[in-house]
Amino acid sequence: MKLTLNKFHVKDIQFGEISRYEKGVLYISKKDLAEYLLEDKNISSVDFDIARPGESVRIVPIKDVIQPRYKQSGSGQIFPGYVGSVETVGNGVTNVLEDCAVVTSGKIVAFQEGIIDMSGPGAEFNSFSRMNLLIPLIQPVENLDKHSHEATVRIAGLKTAAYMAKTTLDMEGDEQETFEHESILEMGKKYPDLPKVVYVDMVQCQGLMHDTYVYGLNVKGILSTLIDPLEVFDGAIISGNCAAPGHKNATIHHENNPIIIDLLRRHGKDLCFAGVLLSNESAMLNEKKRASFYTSNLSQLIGAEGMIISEEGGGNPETDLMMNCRLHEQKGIKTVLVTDEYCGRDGTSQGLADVTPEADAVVTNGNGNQFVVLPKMDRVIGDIEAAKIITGGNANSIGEDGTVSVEIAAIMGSCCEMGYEHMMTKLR
Amino acid sequence: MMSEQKFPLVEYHSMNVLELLRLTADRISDGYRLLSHPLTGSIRPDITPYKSILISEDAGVSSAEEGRLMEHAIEYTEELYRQRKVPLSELWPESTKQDFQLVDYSIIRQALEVAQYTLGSEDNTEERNEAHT
Repeated sequence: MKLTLNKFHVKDIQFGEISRYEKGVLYISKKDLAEYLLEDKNISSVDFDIARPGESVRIVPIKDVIQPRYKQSGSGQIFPGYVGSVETVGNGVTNVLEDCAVVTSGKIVAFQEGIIDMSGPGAEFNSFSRMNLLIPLIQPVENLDKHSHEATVRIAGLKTAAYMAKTTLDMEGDEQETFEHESILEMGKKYPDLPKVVYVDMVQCQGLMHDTYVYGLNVKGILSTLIDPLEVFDGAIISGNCAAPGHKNATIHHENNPIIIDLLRRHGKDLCFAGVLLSNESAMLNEKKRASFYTSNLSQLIGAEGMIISEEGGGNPETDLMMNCRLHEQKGIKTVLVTDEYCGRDGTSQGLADVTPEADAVVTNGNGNQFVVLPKMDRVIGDIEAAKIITGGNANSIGEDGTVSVEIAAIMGSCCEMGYEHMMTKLR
Repeated sequence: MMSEQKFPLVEYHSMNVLELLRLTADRISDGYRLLSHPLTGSIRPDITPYKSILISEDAGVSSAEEGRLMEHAIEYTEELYRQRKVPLSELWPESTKQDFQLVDYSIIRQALEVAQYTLGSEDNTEERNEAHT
């Protein structure tokens, strides 16, 4: 498969009469986009807001962050199962709006969470603060149940992202990057002497606000499966996980999975990127065992010699992570684990809920317990009351001066366990 | 919410999640099998007031692996509880607690569905649900 990402660097988003993309500025017609989203009868009304880098703006609570993409050519369409049909994606040309994202905000449950600050110390903890953000504010119809509400906001976010990128159809972007990936048999012939590396993407699937979708299918209960890395770039994996904002994998993380990007860029040079395996994180111990055994079987069938495994969330997923590590190592496959930690405010405590002696190469993406005081912002998009009850916050989170005191676990994507941000832990 | 469902063997304990983990660890060392992970979901054990854990109906030979898992979960949770004098799980208003119940129930319901138990007719699982009042 061959996929070209045709990238447009968005300098600003503005509302306008007609939706269009011109000289780096994305103009959005609120009316047109609202009409498109209101096709979903679960939405009673929708409005939009814009947040720009450096502004004194706080967005809270956040459900998902999505990078706008739209396919210009190739089979299928972006976000298959939602915007596109369930046809195979990952080939042809896909237009990508860089420095730009859709942020869905909406209180589905009372303890909904996730902060993006566009300036100040909080802005240092994620890349979203350096992007131009469009925020659809979706009001569901009355008495919509929570599961339907979650799905409604999730799908509206994907449709908004596709709508935005569609404005660049048939245009040439500021830069192009092409990725190629052969069949496993072909790459075995082509790169016989390069180490065969497989990436295991552990995806969460445990219930309301804890699910992941592949081609529109909730992956709960699936056996581990193989997916082409280029399919992931076209939005084949969608996040329905809106608990624990600091270390959930939002849709933008899947679209830009940095482990996949790096492995593809090095493919055929110093390693052979043999594929991506999806291993689900269930709540049941037997399912965790089944997923880990099955994933390690597939790795062996592929002929993996090295393995990178990333987890989603913390606590129970560490059992999947460690089991995957142990079973692969026992089969002679070297593993590197990617995670984050909760190791106390001073960072000295044991930060993982499960460990195994075979886990001798672990990359961490920060300490979710790190404490931060966020100054008052001039404008709040969403619901500031949510800051009282977000992860790491408490009833006293909002000071009289408008500051918000939280653990960085409350900041969207701060400790992304795919390594999307730049946090790390230094040994002293 | 879990205790309102028609599960045949539900134990309800009014205690925090850390205490529930310790209670579960005792059962596991008595030979009950641990069926669901003690730290299900992404909502931290110092944040959620509710947690349901599935264990076997009957006790047999105790599993060292499950005992070790409980030990790690307790250590991890103890550390999170040390962060504050009063854990966040005890600070929620009533309306918010309902939503925690819903997420806990959704996780257990999906776990049982994936494990192919028919809701309402499990004959080999025991639910234990905890709440602050």
